[in-house]
Amino acid sequence: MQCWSCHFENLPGLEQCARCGGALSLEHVAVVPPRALRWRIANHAARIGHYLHRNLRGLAAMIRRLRFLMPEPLSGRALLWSIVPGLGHLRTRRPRLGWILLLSWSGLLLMALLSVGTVWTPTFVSLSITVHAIAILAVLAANLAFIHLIIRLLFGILVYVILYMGLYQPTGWLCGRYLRAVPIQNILGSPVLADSDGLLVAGPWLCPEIFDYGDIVLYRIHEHNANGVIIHAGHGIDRVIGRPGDHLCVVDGELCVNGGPPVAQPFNPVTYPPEFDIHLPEHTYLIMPSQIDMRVGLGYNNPTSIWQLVGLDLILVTQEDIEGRVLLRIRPLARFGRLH
Amino acid sequence: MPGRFANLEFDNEQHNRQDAEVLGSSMEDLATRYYEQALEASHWGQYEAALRLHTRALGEERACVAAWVGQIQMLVLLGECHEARVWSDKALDIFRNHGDLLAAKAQACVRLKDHKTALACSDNALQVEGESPWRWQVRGEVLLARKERFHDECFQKALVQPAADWFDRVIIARILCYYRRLTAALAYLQEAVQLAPTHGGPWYELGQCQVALGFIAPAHESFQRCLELRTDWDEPRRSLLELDRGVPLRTHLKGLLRGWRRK
Repeated sequence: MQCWSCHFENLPGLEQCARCGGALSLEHVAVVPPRALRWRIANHAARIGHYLHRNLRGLAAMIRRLRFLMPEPLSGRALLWSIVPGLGHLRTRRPRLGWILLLSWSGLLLMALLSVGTVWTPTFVSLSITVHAIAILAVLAANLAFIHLIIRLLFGILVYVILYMGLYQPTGWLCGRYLRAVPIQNILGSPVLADSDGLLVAGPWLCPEIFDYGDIVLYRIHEHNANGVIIHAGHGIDRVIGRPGDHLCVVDGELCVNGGPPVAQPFNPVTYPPEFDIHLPEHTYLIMPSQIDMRVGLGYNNPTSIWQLVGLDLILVTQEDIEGRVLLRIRPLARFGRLH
Repeated sequence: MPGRFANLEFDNEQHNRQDAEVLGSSMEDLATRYYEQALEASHWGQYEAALRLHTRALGEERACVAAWVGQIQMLVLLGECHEARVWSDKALDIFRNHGDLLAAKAQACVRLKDHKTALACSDNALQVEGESPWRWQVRGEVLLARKERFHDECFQKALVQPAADWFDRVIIARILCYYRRLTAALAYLQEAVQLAPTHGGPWYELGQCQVALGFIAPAHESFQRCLELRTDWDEPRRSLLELDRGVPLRTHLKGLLRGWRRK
């Protein structure tokens, strides 16, 4: 069967020419050419489609020509599944290596989560990214064997950097929108919370529209410098006592919320400001900073005078300053669970 | 753009096949017949009809490369250069490195202002095996579009090819008219008319070129000659009516100016 392009005589039954790859059978070839359409917009759309199709074919052809960079066959499937280290090896019948990679990576990530707030967290995260890079390099091993050692090393570093910038950073950011692991430091401590506890806090995308009474929340404290009192910026954690729209007042030293006793109490006993009578504005909560270690100078030991100096800025918290609701205590493991 | 039903064809294929069987002709002869009819339509400037006939020829014989080339040429002449380019890519997938198809693609690309691809295709067309006037005509067009020298030499080279005839002069004139080189086109059309004085097609194209140049009286004469040779054709009749109705003053002035320059 003679080829239409190069006139090479091919064996019967072949579909493509053995020399040039041209089609040998023209039976199913369409002969009606495309025509410009009636409407101008449709014409433009069709032409853009043709342009993209032509360029994509060119790109695919270029990628095929780059195969000389990969002399050994590359398992694309293993590479794709290696987005979870070890899975690529499990799917391509290398179970031992696959399980080692998968279990070590999972274990390191778990350790990183449980050690949040300690100096070990960055170490565990780096090790898990390293294991991930090793998994990908193991898939490419056959091709990397042809390359100089230094170049292999640089390639490994490049893979690490790409994984960190391209996968772990964005994933970490995205996860942080839902859940965050927060270490607690420099608090007074209470039966509920202790210093250096690790907490799992709901992120901004899981925040409710209005927090409920008794919700334990993590909130921002702004820097305050007035009347000889300096409050450093930082974070506080405590229960929500009053919600937007509530009427709060102090009667005989006890707080009343909407004429009745409060539903929730702060972690530690507090002294309320005297002559406290306020309607909470919209998007504002009452949260007493019972966990904050307030160091005051001589002459200011009187709790009443503290409020005279600080004012209500410390206890009226806006919705924007609340970073999230505390869900679980994740550290220490002995006290893993919900806060009561 | 043609209307929705402008290209509707009633199925005469079966009738033609029966004719062919009765006369003892093969399918290849049928394809050749369609192809010759397409060429004839192209000679008369009936591009749509020529395109349909080329398609019919391919329906009978898909390996007829000349019909593929004809389709691409007609698409270009109808102004559908994007579609011509797509179709030339399709044809080149089947008939790889065919010189005439490469030249056809080069023409489509150059009319789309893709000079780089056009030049590459034209280079390839001249390098591959075989020669034809068409490859040199397109080469000339590519150089003309890029405002390079030697485009006329390429056109002359096309005319000295063994397969060149009067219609190749018309093709060159059409290319020159597209790029508004009307004076040069006029010369080629006059040559074509001298070589084929009994064919109405070059007379009509000559008349159109003369109108564009502002030579009203010669244009009138050319259209008359065309009508004498083909009385049933409406196009020259319509052109004559327009001439009689009056030509814009600008066209008259252009013609006068050109006439003075000649003197």
